[in-house]
Amino acid sequence: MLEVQIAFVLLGIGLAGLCPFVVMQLRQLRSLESRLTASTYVYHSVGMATRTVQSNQIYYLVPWNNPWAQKLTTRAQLLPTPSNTSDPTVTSQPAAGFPHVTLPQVVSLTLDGNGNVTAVTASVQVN
Amino acid sequence: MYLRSQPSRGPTQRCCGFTVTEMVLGTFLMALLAVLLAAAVATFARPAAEVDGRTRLALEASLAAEALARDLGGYLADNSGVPGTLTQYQFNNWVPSSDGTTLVLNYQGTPPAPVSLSVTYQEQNYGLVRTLSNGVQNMVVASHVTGFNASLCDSDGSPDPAGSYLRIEITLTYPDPSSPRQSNPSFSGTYVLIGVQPPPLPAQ
Repeated sequence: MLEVQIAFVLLGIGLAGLCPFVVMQLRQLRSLESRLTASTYVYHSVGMATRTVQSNQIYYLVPWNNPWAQKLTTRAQLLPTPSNTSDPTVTSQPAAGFPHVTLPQVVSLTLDGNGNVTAVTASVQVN
Repeated sequence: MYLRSQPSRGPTQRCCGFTVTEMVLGTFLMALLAVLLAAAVATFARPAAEVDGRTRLALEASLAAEALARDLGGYLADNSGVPGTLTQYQFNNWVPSSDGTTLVLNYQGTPPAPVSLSVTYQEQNYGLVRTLSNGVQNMVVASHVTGFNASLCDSDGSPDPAGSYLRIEITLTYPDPSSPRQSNPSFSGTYVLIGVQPPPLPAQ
């Protein structure tokens, strides 16, 4: 009987050791889902009734106001509102004859031993 | 005098097997162990499976949103790394199909680019496929896609055939119907993205 009790205690300790991992996974999942929340979630879990979670969250793909920012970043902003109030409005276009910038070579990156970018080298041509 | 030796008694012969008491006790312990294991599965395995499915959904949704954000940023992303001028590769308009299953994004392509370029989004084989108009670049930007719908709308997302905004609904399901794993658990999420027209180029 003592052996059985010891076995159950060890089983309990082993299962309790899994708790931090489950909590860590759930926290990471919550952090990941907070970046882009679905409008509706439907869960079919094992042994549980189907759950439907409505957040009615919508996101706006808002281009930058500056046309060069649009072109060079090539990405709209993913915002919960239709506009970005901190994005300055562009009221005038560069005058005719404004330097034309081209990128004749591919941008090269310098990496350190850990694979981190330490330098970016870009050669541009202005005419 | 002889002492008659008594036949020595050997160890008591025990019958093989186990008693009813031992069987009942063993059954009780097995039942207790089964309950504990079931509780452990419910506590740890179910969240693990849920984390797996929901993480896949979140990642695929992020990929789909990123691809759409890149193409709705005002300019075509596939510009060969040459910035060019402000008119090259500029976004022109979006054309969702009448049933909403296909979205076409048109761009200007002043020389040296082709006259016009378009990017098409549609759901194929449970993937969101992005196709450039040259017909060569066909790319799956997200998997587990079970629904894709694009339509014109107002700024609040309500449907409006004459609206100036674009409502994109993407439904992701894991595991999707093409997956060999068709058992529970399964998860699905519907993501709503609204495209905003880029502002017109400022006058000189």
